[in-house]
Amino acid sequence: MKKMNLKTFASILATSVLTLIIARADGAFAAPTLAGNWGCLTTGVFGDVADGINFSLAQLMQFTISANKVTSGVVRYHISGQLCVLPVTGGTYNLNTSGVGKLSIALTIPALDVDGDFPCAADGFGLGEDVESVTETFDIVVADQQTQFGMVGADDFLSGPGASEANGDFSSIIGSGRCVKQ
Amino acid sequence: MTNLCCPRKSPRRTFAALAITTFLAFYASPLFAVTQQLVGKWACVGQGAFGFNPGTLATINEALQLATDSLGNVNSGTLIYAGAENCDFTVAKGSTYNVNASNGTGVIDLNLNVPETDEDSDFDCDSIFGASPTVESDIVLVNGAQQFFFTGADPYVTTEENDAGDFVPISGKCVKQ
Repeated sequence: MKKMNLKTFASILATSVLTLIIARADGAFAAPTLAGNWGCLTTGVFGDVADGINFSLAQLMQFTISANKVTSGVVRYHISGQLCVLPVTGGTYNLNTSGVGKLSIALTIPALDVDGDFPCAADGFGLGEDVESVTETFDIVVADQQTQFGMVGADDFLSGPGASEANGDFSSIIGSGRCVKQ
Repeated sequence: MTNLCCPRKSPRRTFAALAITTFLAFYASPLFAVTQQLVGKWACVGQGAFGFNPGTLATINEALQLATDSLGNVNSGTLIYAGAENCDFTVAKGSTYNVNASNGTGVIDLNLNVPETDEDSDFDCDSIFGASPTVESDIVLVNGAQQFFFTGADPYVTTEENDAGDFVPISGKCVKQ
């Protein structure tokens, strides 16, 4: 076999590197990946005439994505002064080539909040008191070379045991937010 | 003159090494860097909402500036609470933070000096958090510990008189100055 000379080798290598740089700059890779560790904040507002108050909600989230799966993490769900800490048990995501897609995060719901005065499943999510798990789904859009993504609650935000279509429609309550790579 | 220093490298190997290094530097993801402490000066904005239904709904805003050290102390700072009346709290001694090195989550506790009045002297700032309050927020570090998100903890406010300080979450982001 004919041996490749230095000039040819250099030319091929330079072309390959240049092609990858141009492709990255144009965002032209097949589909973005979210592998890594993420920190996020989502916020929203909710009001109910029956309860007589309006208040803000927030989710402070940390999770790891590996091999296209959400593998671990924790969600701190704060609703009007009550804080439920929900371990992440799994999840998935999919993205199209424009960086738009969905992220689902499966959570364990504790019976009570951190100071034991608030039932998380019933009053936090509107589920049955004995429900112990739920999945949250977000519409997401990836930005800044896959180091951030914006997120809004998806229609049918909540799914899983005890989540009817009615309380699945939670997207306007949980609002929107952003995840940034750690 | 003979070069006694270093063996001559192959140009092909040098070029390949340079190209690979350039490629990796450009393409590699940032390292997971949450083991870094929260050291430096920070600027933050947070927001919450509260109101009555039927009635009014209003946002509650906070602007913060904090200076932290590597020992878990918040050494100085200002918390401007803006909810129609603006009160400028200063951060008092004994304020602290801690970060879990395994995942970058943590807590920041701010002891606040309460000003006598608000910015235009028509509101008693004691009525927001009480006297000598401590406010606690949960945090998660991002972007190589150059930023962090925060939201109010449960309880958010602890005072000498009251330790049941449930408060609507005030949430936002801090960025290194």
